[in-house]
Amino acid sequence: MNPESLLPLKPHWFHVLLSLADQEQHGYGIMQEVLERTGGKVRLWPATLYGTLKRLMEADLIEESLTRPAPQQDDARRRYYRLTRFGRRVLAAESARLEDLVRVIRAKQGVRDRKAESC
Amino acid sequence: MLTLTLRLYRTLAGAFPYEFKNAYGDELVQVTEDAIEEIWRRYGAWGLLRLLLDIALRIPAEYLAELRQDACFGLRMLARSPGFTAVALVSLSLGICIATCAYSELHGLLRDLPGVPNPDELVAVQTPSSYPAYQRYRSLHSVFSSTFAYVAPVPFGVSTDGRPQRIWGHLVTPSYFSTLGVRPFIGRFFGRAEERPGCAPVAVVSYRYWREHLGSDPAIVGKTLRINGYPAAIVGVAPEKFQGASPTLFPADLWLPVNVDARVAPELAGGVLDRRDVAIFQVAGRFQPGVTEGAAEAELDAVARQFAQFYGEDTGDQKGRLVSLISAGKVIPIRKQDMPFFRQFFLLMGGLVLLIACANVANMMLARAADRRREIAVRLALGAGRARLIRQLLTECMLVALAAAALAFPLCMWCMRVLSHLRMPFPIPMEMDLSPDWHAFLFTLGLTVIAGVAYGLAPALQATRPNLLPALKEGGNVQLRRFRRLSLRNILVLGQMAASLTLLLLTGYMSLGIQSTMGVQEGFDPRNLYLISLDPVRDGYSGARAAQFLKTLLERVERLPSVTAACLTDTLPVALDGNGGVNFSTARQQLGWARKHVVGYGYFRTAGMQILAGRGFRRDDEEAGAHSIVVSAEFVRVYFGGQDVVGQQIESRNGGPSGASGAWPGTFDNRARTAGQTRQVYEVVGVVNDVTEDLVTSKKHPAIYFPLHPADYAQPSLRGITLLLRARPGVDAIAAVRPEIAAMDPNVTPFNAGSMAEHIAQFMSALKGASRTYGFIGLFALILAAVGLAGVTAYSVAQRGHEIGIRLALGAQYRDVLRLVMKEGVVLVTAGSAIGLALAWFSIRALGDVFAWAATVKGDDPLLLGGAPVLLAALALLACYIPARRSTRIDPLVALRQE
Repeated sequence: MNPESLLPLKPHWFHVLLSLADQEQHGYGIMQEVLERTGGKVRLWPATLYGTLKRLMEADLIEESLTRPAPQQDDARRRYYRLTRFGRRVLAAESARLEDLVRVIRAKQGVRDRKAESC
Repeated sequence: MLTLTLRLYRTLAGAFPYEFKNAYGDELVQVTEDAIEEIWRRYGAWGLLRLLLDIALRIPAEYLAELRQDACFGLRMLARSPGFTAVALVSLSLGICIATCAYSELHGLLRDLPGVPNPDELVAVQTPSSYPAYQRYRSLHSVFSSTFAYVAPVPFGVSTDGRPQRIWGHLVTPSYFSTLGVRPFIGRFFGRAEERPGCAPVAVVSYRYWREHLGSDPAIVGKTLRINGYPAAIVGVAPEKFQGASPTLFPADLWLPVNVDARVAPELAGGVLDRRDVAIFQVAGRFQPGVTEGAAEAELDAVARQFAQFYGEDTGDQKGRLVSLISAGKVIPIRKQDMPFFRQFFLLMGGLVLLIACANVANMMLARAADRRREIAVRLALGAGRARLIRQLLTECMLVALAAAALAFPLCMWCMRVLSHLRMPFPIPMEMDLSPDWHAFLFTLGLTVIAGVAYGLAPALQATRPNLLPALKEGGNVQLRRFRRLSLRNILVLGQMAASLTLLLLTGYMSLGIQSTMGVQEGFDPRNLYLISLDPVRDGYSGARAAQFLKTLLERVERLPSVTAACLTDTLPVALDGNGGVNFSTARQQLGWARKHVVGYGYFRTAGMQILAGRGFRRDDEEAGAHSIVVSAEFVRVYFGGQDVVGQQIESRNGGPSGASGAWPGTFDNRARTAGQTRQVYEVVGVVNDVTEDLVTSKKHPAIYFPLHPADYAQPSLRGITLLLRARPGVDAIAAVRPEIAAMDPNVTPFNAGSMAEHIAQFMSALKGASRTYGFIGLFALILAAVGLAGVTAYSVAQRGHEIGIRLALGAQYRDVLRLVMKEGVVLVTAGSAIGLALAWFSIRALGDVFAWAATVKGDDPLLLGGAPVLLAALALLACYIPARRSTRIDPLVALRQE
């Protein structure tokens, strides 16, 4: 399947994929990571988070990780999630799309000026 | 606070769909437990609320997602078996279509009067009354808050822009509109000014007439129409869709007050408003609050008896009520106690058809479930919940049912439109609006849901029986079920075959019976015969001038080179509206009844009838005071035993309403409703051959032909006076006659012009419609029977795959296997056919009397008795063969390896 076909990603999907980009995470970890990364602006409420995780699993973007952390840090009740190879490609494609968008925004004189004024 | 929220959260988490709950339920609750304190600190109570809202919104979303998934899966499964899908679609859409049609018809017939407030309060007296009687009823203020009376149907000759037309309307009391509670679209309705006898001629026109004939002129009030040759001022336009108090039987486009000059409306001639013996007024009223129908009937009855006693009439021998009330708030007059019957009949019929269709598809689903047992068993074994699987199977069924509804609703719309526009062969335009509306749409939707669940549930329950082991073994079905035993399924199919054959034979019988009677008219020659109707009285002529006009016209027409014979007549050889009847007694004091024809001089020659004895009418028979009549051969056979009757005398007993079937609009003869007419003695001057004037060839009625008297010209029947012409072959006599009429007086309105062939075709159109309907139902039965059998055979093959494999391995030929499987089908077909034939035989016998009018095809018609079972059997065997062929594709190696 072509990663492009899923773009643009829904914001929730993007946030979850991004938080799994460099490490495997459990649900609570994803929630906290997104909250911190966005300075408290984006909160994935639990039911929404698990709805999103379910969809991402079905779309084969993430999978359950079988490797567990060291026993003293492990909570047996938790499941860890990681990106699939396809998920990584989709994340890359979405990031490229957003980068392009930002480039376009920067190139637009009016937007930059107004931003400069507001600073 | 936190504990309470958590408890609530856990409860809500339990409401997720099983799959979601199973996979994420615990984790979800755990994450919430971990995060709740932080949320409380950060957002306070709002955060907790947001937390609960989040889960509350997610639950339906998950259910919807599951439904979507089921629908996608269902579509894939349906696409994989296109045969099943197509047949199920056809069966269900036909079933839903027929049921919705039945509902629409019911709804259309039992609709309330459009634009009339509180129609339940309106009642009408069932039989027409005289005006003085109405005046008595009107004074019952304790019963009625208001009342009205009207004469209907009344034809009017109306000319707009010099073009005369025949329009139907009512003569009404001024309280007509106010009692109904309608408001004028433009102008006013009748008021005090119209309550004086001999009031100025004023008219109210319908919205439809105003739009189609008066160019939607907003300044129409005050303008004049020429009605029956006299100017009448338009005072108002009725609201849209309002066609009067009886829009189905007597739709009205024009209303005139009953107090108008009798010259404008010949119905009012002879002072009918003061005569208690002329009962031509339909009486209706609006109940006072709290009055019951029974109490009102009792009061009206008392008044009627008082009234009769006052005039010295004896009512003692009349048992029961003199007056009975019917509902007047519906588009057709109907007795309140008959309403449940109508409802139940239509719903039962529609429901039964749908039930057959559902049972059929359910049968097929069972067969299909047998194919899918392994798939379902695997899913059950892997932990899928039974409820979940049933839901999934039901989703599939709902998909088919919804698609069927999407097909059925437009089909039903089309059917009902055709039915609504079917022009009935009555002289009065009868109108029906049966088009399905949102009620019908809701009804269809409801039916669809019921159908989907009805045909899906039983197979789904059976398919998901948690008996996994045999299904999971490679053999599919290890228990070798003997198909031959009398299982419920076999009985179902047997019953279905029998019922289908019965239905097929009955409908075929009706259809063939109708078709064989069509186009067969005996006793007269319809070729080169033309008719054109005139009613000069409605064009402003007096009775005497009308008679003179018609006689002069006849002379002019007879001189035309293209016309070989012509006559004037009141009745026609063929008329579904049924020529009225007459009661009489013969010299031997024998009482009898005969069809009444009123015909002019030269009728028998023009129609091509034979004078068997005596003579036909002469000109002098038409003079007032002449008492000659001609009778039919059947009359002589029935009442005189075939003896010579010329010169015999008979006495007509009444001129009262003795029509063959008073229910048909055409039989309303306002002239004939005069009670207590003096008896008349007539002399038979001739005998003519019988004419089949009904729907059928075989049934003959005694008939008496009366000559046209001057009084008939002054007040003709609703058909007017018809000029009957026999033309030379290939000549359009109507085109030749129209200029003659226009040359004599361009204001005289010809109507119902056409050839006898066209007249007969129109006469037969209702029958053709009925014939096609029966054919359609028969076809439906045929399809269903075939489908049912195919389903059963497929099931059998699927179940016996293993057994067949063993047989093949042991050396059986494919031919033998095919025979084995087909044998089941053949046994069912034969047994079903035998039962069906017997049932049909008895049904036709039983119905023979009821449908005597269509009974020209005998019950033992070889085409039917032989053809229908052969057709059904051939189709059934084909339906058997196609799935049975699958048995030959079974590979014995695979089948044996399956242990």
